[in-house]
Amino acid sequence: MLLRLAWRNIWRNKRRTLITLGMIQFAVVLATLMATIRDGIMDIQVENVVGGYQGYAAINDTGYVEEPSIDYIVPYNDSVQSFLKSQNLIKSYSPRIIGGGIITRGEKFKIGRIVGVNPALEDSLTHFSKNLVKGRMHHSIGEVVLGLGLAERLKADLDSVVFITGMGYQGNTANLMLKVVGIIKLSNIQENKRLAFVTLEEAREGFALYEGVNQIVLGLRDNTKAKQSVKKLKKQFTDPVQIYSWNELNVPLYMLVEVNDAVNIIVSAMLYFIISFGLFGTILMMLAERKREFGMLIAIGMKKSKLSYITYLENTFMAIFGTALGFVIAIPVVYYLNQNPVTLTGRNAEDIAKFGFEPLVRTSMNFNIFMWQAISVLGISLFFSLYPILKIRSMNENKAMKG
Amino acid sequence: MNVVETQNLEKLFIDAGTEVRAVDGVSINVEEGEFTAIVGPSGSGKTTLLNMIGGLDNPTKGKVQVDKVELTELSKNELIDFRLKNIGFVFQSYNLIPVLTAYENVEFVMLLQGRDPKERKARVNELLVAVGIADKAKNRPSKLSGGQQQRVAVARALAPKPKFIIADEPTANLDSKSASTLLDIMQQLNEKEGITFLFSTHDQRVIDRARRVVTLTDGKITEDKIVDV
Repeated sequence: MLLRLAWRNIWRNKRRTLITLGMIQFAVVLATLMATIRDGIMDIQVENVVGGYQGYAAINDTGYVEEPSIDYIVPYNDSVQSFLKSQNLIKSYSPRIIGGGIITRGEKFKIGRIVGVNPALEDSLTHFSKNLVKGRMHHSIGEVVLGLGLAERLKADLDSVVFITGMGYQGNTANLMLKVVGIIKLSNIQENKRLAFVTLEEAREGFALYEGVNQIVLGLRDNTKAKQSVKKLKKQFTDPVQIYSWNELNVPLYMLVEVNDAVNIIVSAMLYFIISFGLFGTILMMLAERKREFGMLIAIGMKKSKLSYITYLENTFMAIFGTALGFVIAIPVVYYLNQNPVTLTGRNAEDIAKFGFEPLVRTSMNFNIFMWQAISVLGISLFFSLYPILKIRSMNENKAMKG
Repeated sequence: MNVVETQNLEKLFIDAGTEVRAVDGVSINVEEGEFTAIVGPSGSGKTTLLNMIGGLDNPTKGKVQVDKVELTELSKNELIDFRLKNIGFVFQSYNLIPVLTAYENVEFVMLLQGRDPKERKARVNELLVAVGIADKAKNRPSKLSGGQQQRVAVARALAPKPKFIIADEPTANLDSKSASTLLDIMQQLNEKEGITFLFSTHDQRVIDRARRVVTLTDGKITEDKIVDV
């Protein structure tokens, strides 16, 4: 009966209930869309930067994290490879030798990063070959695959010859002459403009690094749980060789994600703050309208706790229905934008690209976002439900009945 | 046997800085089966007296016993529980729950008492027949006339089988026909089932039906007479 009473009470003033539900719905839709879009944009950036080249986890020398230099190496021998293969959390791996240098073609030059990789292992990690826009993967000494941006900067094409002059291992000078066999489009715009891939052997010879590698990038079974997986794997490493998750390797990006999360919380909080006033107004009106009735109910023997429970149920119902109605609109829109990302064009796109981001708007289907929206609305409504409970507790039935 | 006993009941109010003695040393006993009217002009203290007898208001001084239980010694929660089990209320403005049907309004108090569904159903049907609105059981208060609503209120007050019923100006908002029907019902319940009624009124039609008329003037009992109806 109490449930029935609470349910019917909601509908005793249909217009007010519909306005309140509409208000909650609007906030849920807006907050969900904003959060999923922001989260989606960040997901793309993380996917591009981390998934496209950097990797969700990597084994480095501790010094390399602070100052990426070819001089910091980690062993890469049979026992290391056996260890990597034996770990269930690790799906794939790719050893890299990473050196810097000036890449020149004719009169064109660009300071870039030369990455020595095993093409097969790299492909299993980053699906390198799928991103080739021209040519093929590099297989032998003397071959290079250039990032599309870098190739454009150098005006290089397939079969072009480029020269690399850089700093090798422990002060050695690196000089390489390479033929372009492929051009790859890397999803991260900055990496696209500066990376050149050679074979591991080429890099080893060219940079005079005959033992170990600079980094072993890892593909994890579940990249979404990179932090937890790395935490488990960390126990098996001793300094100076350590395993790092992407957020430790790319602190600026991680900070950006964190800031984005914080902004999401602030924006949602502002929206819900506005909603709170609406909800509180509804509760105040409800209390004023039903004061006599509350007095009468207490007079005929209804415990204040039961009466409080009814008002609590009413607010909870409103919150649940408002949120559900919000999701009815938000989820299809979020799903559509997730499946059909919007590519930005024009100046906006250029501005975003300047920061190295892909000008693409795609919503995130992260369940946590929806869950937190629901929890927030419910939390607010439960918080404001305390007000009628307090009023009822201190209510004098006799005075209340007089209105 | 006395259902209600009051001793030197007093209620003081401060109204705009002035002390107002709404009830002034009222001692009254109500026996089981009485059909008693508290009468008097507006502001004579009828409602205040009934509120104190019903445990809705605390006396400034004096004692109120209902079925030998001293109400002034009960806590607020105990009073609510006591009212639920022992006192039925009929209010001037009906005060039904607007979102419940007539049937549910009558059933509601029994539900609060935790009575089992079978007993509730039987009692509610019996009462709706007794007050003559069984055919309106599914109607919400907004679909009932004032008289019908007040009859539902009487049925609601009777539902938990209280020791007595307090009715504060029960006919004040009713037309003559509805008032007459309501009084017939209340009188029948009193005569046939021995239900004790204590009501405040200044409606002559009600006074004419009462078997005992207690007159209050300025908070004091000025007359207390047994009437042959």
